[in-house]
Amino acid sequence: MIELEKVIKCYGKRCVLQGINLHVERGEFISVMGRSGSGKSTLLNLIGGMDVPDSGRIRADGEEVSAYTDEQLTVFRREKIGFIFQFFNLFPNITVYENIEMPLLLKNASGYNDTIETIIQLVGLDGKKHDLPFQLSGGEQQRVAIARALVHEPKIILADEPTGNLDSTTGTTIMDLIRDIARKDQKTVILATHDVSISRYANRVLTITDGIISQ
Amino acid sequence: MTFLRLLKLIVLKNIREEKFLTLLSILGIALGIGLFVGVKIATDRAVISFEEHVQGLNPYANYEVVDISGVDFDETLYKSIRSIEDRSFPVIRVNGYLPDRKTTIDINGIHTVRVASHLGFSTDRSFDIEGFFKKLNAVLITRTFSERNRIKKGDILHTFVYSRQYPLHVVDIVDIPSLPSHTVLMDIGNFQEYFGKSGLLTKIDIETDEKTASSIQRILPLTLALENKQHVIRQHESLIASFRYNLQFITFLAVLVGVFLLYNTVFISVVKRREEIGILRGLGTKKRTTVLLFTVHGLILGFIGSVAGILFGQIFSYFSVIAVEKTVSAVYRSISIADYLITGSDAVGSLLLGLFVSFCASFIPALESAHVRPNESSKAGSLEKQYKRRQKIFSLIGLVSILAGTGIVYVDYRYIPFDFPYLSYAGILLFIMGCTFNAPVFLSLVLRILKIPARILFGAAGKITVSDIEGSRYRFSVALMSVAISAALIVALLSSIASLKNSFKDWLSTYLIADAYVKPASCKSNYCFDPLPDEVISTIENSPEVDDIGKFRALQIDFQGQKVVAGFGNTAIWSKYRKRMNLSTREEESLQRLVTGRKASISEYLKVKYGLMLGDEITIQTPKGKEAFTVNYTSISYSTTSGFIYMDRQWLKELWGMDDATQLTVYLKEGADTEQFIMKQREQLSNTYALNIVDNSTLRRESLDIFDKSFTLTYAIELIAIIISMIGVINTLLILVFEKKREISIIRYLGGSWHHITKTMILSGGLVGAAGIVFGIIMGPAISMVIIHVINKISFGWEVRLHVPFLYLTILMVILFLTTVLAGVIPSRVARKIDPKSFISFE
Repeated sequence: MIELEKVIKCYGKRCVLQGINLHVERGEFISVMGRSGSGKSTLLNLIGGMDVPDSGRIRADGEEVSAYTDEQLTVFRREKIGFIFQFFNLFPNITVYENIEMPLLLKNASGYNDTIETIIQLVGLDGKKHDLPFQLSGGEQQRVAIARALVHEPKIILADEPTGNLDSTTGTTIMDLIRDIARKDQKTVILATHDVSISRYANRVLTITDGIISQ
Repeated sequence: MTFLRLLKLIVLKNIREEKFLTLLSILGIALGIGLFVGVKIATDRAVISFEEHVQGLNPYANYEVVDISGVDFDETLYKSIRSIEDRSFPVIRVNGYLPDRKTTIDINGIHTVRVASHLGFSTDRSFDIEGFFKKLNAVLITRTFSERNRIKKGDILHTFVYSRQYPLHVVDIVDIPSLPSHTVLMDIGNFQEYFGKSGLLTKIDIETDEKTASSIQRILPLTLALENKQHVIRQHESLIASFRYNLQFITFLAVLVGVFLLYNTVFISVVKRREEIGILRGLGTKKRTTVLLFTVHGLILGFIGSVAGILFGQIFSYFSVIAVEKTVSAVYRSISIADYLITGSDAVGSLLLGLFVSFCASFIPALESAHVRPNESSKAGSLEKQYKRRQKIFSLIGLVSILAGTGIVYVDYRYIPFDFPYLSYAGILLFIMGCTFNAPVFLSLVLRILKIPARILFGAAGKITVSDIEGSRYRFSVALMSVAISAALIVALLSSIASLKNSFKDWLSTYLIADAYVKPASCKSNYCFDPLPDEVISTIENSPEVDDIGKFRALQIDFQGQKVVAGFGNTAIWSKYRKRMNLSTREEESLQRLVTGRKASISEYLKVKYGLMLGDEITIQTPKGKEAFTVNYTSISYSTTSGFIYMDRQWLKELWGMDDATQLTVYLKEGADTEQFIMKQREQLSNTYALNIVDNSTLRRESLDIFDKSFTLTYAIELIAIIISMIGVINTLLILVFEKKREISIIRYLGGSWHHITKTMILSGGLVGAAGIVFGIIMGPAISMVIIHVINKISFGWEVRLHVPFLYLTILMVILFLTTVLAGVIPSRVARKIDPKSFISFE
């Protein structure tokens, strides 16, 4: 599903990733651990098509992502990637429904009302669809972010500390939700976290140290 | 010291970080101030030109003896006056026109020996004094005139003077700064002989005290008056006061658009520094320090903008001077403005104005900084929330402002408490203020209407655009207002000009009914006081094609202490052809009654200014003393803004003792070819005379041409208002980009392309532009009604019917809309430089 081959990424003289090799199967749930600045976000950005490697190859869902132009990467993200962020990153001025709708709008999709209603039910936000983000609790906001990451049915979910901004009980609920949905729809999940307890949700735990990945 | 340190850390750092935004704000202020300064310089210089004209050659002369009708008088009186006051200087004066250079000159016949010292003619400056006396047509011209028109010593100026063409020989060029640049000097003897004006003078300048002035007054006949020059200057100033202040007010509105820009910039500075302000407050910084910091921010930008504005103003003033010179020369009297340089006091005044408006623009957002609590976190939307809470109060203030504005305009309209429409200007400003306070409500309404269409038409970009604007609607309201003021200005000015032009066309159709018109070629103003030669009149009158000729004589008369133009015409002939005028029966009857008894027709200006009604009695100073006339008819006079009185020619003969004419209106026999008639007259008369003989349609075309040229400056103001509002939209969208970096990054993460972002920016510009234009279209007609029905009437006495030039307005609105759409391009380019990874943290 995802394959990284000798991927190197440097910022100036500092090489964050130094020849990474990684193979992730479809439906796999991977947890990436490492200290701050170890290269976790760079790895997620490269897989998500937000950045391109200096050398090496990245293949995702059979596509040679590392050779893509900016325009192709945009389409790749739009079609195949769902991002979940630590700080939710919702649009503050639009409703829950409209936030979830956004990836579909960017795809120029139509007739998706039922899809959104279903996913709202799935993430447990019934009765909240007309609320604005600031009217929701942290857990609810992250549910919206999860719904938004899933609504366009991406094959890959990239999640950054999805529970980092939540209390432990809510964090557990959110992680259960991500795991259940991923399992049900055979999504490939790559999760970056510091939290060992969260990494237990993964099938495989990877650690990045000094730009090198280890299992 | 601490304050300076804070200034460096908070304000100067912000200026450094937001270079482009700062530049835009400075540019907005600079254009506004520049335009204001440019127009102010031009109109002020027009007044100075009047003053110089009145002051004449002797800077110490404080009185002048002139004919009350503005014509030349017998010079024999000079001896008597000189016997009372030796410091008296005779002058004979006439306007000439140089057809090659399309410029007017003011030819002064001077007593060379007597004024030599005043003019600085001295032995150390040798000029061709012999040539000046010996050659009958020898003239001296000023240095500025020579440079401006590339005329050198020895050149011959072919000049239309009175009704002939005369060659004038430039014997020297003089440096006399106190003289208007278009002054041409001749020896008085040469002047009288060369132009056939022997024994005549135009005025006698006198340098004397009050007591001696009274003695001189006593020996003057009724036809002459001793006038205090300061009083005359004030009269001249009042002549163009309306023209001058109306223009300045319009340019002030352009400054207002710049103020919105500055407001926005300081506002965003406060929003961006909210966290820092919170920390500072936590560390014990007083509220007034933070307010002062951001006020100083605005003042710094205002200062730089004003200085740049003064430089812009220097360029604008050059072009404004040309436009003002043309308008004033056509409508009031011939002037020449050579000096368009900004003086020290002009610069200081402009700087103070710039600083004042900058203070006003920055103080309100600066006050916001005082509301930041010490524990407040950085939250861009919190100010917006505060505004949302206060919206009801703002709307109420806005409504009260609009009502107050409407009320005081009504007072001005109904009671005319002042000579000048001060209340109407204040009313317009209050109205704009009221609209500004209600702009967020209007924007919300527009967004509510456009929310679904925007999403359907533009998908994600439409939704993001609407939500972004809704989220920052107070900031966008400021951009909306800058577009709205521009649109309102365009609608108001264009409608006023079109209404005026339409009414003017109607007026031309009503009153220009003759087949051909004749006047001296030297006459370039609407009214000239130099008569046509008798030979010209008799030649035309005796032409076989001519059915009738109407002799028209313009004179200057004193009416209630003000100099107004009096016109004397053949009412009977006019009345004979009245069917061509499309008058109502009542008007026709009134017109016919002008022939019988002492009846006069007055212009609307005099009616409004002095509260005169039909049937009222007016007293006019004539050579035979004060004479009473009954107001029998009122009409609009677009050809003068200083008041006009029409009387039948019988009174010209009876009371003024004249029977000449300054213009002829020619009515041809049925079937006569006007074009051939004019050709024939030109052939017959052009060898001896320099005349302007035109047919009806040419005169109408020329009149409309002068009308259009008079408003060139107004069109320039509109153009600059569009530019400033475009900068306003760019400014707001840039602020949006800076503020929405996170949201832009999210869009990129969600699979949005740069095309989506660009589309969002362009849509934002277009939406704000469209909303601003709609708001401006609502505001514009209201302002237009005030300009047409109150300001125009009080200033010029012009009764104007509203005429909206829909086609032009639509074109201009489309251009304005496109500029606001284009305004989204620059911010979208800035947005492209955003690295989404920097704003979306993965760790």
